[in-house]
Amino acid sequence: MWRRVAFAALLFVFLTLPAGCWDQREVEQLGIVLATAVDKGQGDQLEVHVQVVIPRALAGGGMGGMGGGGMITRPYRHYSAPGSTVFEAMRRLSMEAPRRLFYAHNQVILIDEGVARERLREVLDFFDRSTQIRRHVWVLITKPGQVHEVLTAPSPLELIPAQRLVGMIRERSLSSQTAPQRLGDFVEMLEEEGQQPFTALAVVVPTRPGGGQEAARREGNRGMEEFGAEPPVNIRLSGAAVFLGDRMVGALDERETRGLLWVRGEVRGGSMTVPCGEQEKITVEILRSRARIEPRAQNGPLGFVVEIRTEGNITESHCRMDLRKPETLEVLSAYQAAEIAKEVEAALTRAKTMRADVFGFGATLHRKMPGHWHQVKEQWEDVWPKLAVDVRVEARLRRTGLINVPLEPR
Amino acid sequence: MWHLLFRKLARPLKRRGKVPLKHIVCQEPYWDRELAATRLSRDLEANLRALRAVLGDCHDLVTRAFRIGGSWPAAVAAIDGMVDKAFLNEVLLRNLIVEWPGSTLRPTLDALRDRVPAGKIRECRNVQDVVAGVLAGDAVLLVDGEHLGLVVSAEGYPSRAIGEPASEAVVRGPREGFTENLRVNLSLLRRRIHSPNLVVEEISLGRISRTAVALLYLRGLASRELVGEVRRRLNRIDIDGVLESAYVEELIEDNPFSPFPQVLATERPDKVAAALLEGRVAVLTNGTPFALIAPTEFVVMLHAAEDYYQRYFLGTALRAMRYLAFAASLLLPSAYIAVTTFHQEMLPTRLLMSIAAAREGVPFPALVEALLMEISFEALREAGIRLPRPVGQAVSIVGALVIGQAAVTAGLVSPLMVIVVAITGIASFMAPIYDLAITARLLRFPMMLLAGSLGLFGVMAGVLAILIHMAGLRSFGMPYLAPLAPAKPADWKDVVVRAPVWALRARPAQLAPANRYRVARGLKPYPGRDG
Repeated sequence: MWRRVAFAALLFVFLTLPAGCWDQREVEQLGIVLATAVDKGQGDQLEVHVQVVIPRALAGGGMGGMGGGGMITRPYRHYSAPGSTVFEAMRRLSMEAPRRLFYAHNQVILIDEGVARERLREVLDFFDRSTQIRRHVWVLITKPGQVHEVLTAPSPLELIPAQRLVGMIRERSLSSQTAPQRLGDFVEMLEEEGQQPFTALAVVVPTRPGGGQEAARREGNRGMEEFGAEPPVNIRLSGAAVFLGDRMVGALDERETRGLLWVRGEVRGGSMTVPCGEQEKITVEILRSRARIEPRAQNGPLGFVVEIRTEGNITESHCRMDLRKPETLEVLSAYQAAEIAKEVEAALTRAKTMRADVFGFGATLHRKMPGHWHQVKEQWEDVWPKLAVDVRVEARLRRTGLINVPLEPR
Repeated sequence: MWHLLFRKLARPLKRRGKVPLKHIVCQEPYWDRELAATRLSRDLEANLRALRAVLGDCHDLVTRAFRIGGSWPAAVAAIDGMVDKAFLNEVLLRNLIVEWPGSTLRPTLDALRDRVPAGKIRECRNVQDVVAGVLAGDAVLLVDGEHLGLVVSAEGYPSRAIGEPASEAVVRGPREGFTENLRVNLSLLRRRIHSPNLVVEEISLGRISRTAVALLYLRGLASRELVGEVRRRLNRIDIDGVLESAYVEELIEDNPFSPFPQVLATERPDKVAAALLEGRVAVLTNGTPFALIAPTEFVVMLHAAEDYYQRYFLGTALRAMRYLAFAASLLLPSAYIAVTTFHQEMLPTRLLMSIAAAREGVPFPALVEALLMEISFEALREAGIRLPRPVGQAVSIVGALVIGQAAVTAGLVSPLMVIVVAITGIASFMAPIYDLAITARLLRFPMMLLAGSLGLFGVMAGVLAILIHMAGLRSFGMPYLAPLAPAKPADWKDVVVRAPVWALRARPAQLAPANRYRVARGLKPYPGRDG
């Protein structure tokens, strides 16, 4: 028996040790990348930037005493390297970064608009293949030349810019006017027939008159060091970049983006201002929405019916109507429905000019009328803009609050 | 395959040991047949001589020669300190010497028996009986002209008072714990179970120590096979001395090479009573407050007596927590090591960042750090137990607070590791049975090595190995993982969940096959139904 025990012990040692702690890496040897950006480099090259956190600078109480000298407002560093492909550039980063870069916690991938317009496929191919990068990272497009700025713009509230972007994405449904996509969803849309991909844009906006990009560049880094100083620029998630296949072809503005989300049934909140009368307005808080796309081919040419159902609460009302009456609510919700239909029309119009079927009409047709789809799929980009889309909106107002008449000074 | 190989290797080893082990160890010169064959004679002097020949070197042997009623020679032999002096002097000797009715007849044994006010009197015929009686704390009365002696039960050695069990305290529930005295312990059980079916079988174990060991069970409840098996294993024991029930435990358990305790040791009479009522068997050993309960499944080790004394919601919640705590005390450090050195992608981003921040500047890999901390924690705990109580506290304070804090400030260990080790420590204190806590403490270290070399894969392999081992264990023939594996859903009411008493109708299926139900049907309280 003791021999058996000894044998088991030896087995244990010989089985575990030869593995040599393969794949083992201590946390402190990792450079945790929170954001990756792909920019245009010189000539044919790509430039990859990564944002790496400095954990020591982030630590609160425990190590704070050791860090010494107050709060570090920039607990991150950037590394950039050029390369003809993304992977090449990423490996070149190791020549500058003192730690093994670790992408499993990467939260956002920023892609420069120029790259998105020309070389999106090779960029996405790498990220989709990579074992460390997850399919749930967010893909955002930046305006040409703004990648670095989006990465570095000071963010006193969320100290790490990548976290700030994620924070804005997380709260996107408070406006529903921006449509960020995760890498996995984006790639799926790219590969689906009859569905063009889209994702949100991250743009730099000045915080004060005369701020602008120039001012940001001038005083950006300095402003950050003074903690609490108003940074000259903010980052804004806005609208949606629209792709035709693997090339970006344009963008939807914020109103049109919500139109797009209405059709996709992805509006989860936001505010709508609806006129009720000549001057007065009410504001509706959107609660939820659902949408259904139905292709129609009987008795006439191919077309689509989009049924949108939404519910909302009244949060502001300047109307003199009596909100206690159901008829009033019916009238108001009809106004809201009309407004929603206008947003959808705007989105449709803009998307049609770009020929990009971001709504997924083709995919729906494929699912529901495969026969029809196979006849038109080759020329879908040219076919769908001509098709009639019948938008039917059913809006419901759920709660009006306890105040039934607007404030009125007497 | 392996065991065949090993048997081959083991054979020459066996042959070398020519003499069976027990003949070497257990020789006991005084307990031989010769002594038992020496009958007591009618001559008092001869008897006393024979007694002194055996116990002559024992200076604590007291023989008091006297004359019964002032005329008939007799003697009392006892060991000083073992007998109740007051009884001996004030009652026995006074009755025989002073208050003996002035009869001129030679006192017969019957007459003597009438005048000896002791509950337990035994006749003895040979020197062996006399010696045994004296050594056990009885007084032996020898009378001239009789070839029989009287062993009068007069045990009167001091023993610890019944106190609260130190290792298993409760908030609600009886506070009596076993003592070192078998008689007291048996009475504690008799006080709980007033049943003629509570059988107490006594044997004495230990060739030299002659320790009294009692086998208890409820007749008609405990299965005959089980009782027979325990009895067989107890009778098999041939050892020089039994100083604690652990000696018995190690000699009767099923798998001597398992880190898991297969017999439950407890200080609580209520726990033993509950086990008896379930059809289990208890073994009480004189000289220790720890009783053994067999068979014992793994899940029972995680059950505290108090689970049944508190409301069942709380009992269930505490139990669930205890299962978690057992897993934590076994796995937490290894999980931490595995995740931080192999699977950083599994952590939430912010947690990873704070771990990375905490580990910044720590000079050791996580495995070494964890081993260091765990070993010093175990050392600290051991030091705290062994040292005299007031010093022990100082050690824990210096060790835990001062060194812990200093190690973190010096950057030797990360604060997170301190937290992990502390939680592990607390979790291991939650095991209601100390033996099981030790098992988890012990297995923690190989698990940490596995985690440090193979990551979560290693941890899983280790957990599987442990589970396979546990599934193969038996406690007196009963599967160790019952009622989980083999699955007996009917008994799941008392595993993680502690069902209310009225719902716990059946005894565990494998224990009391003849008498399954302990609670009458329809006892669920329902005020107003009866009237």
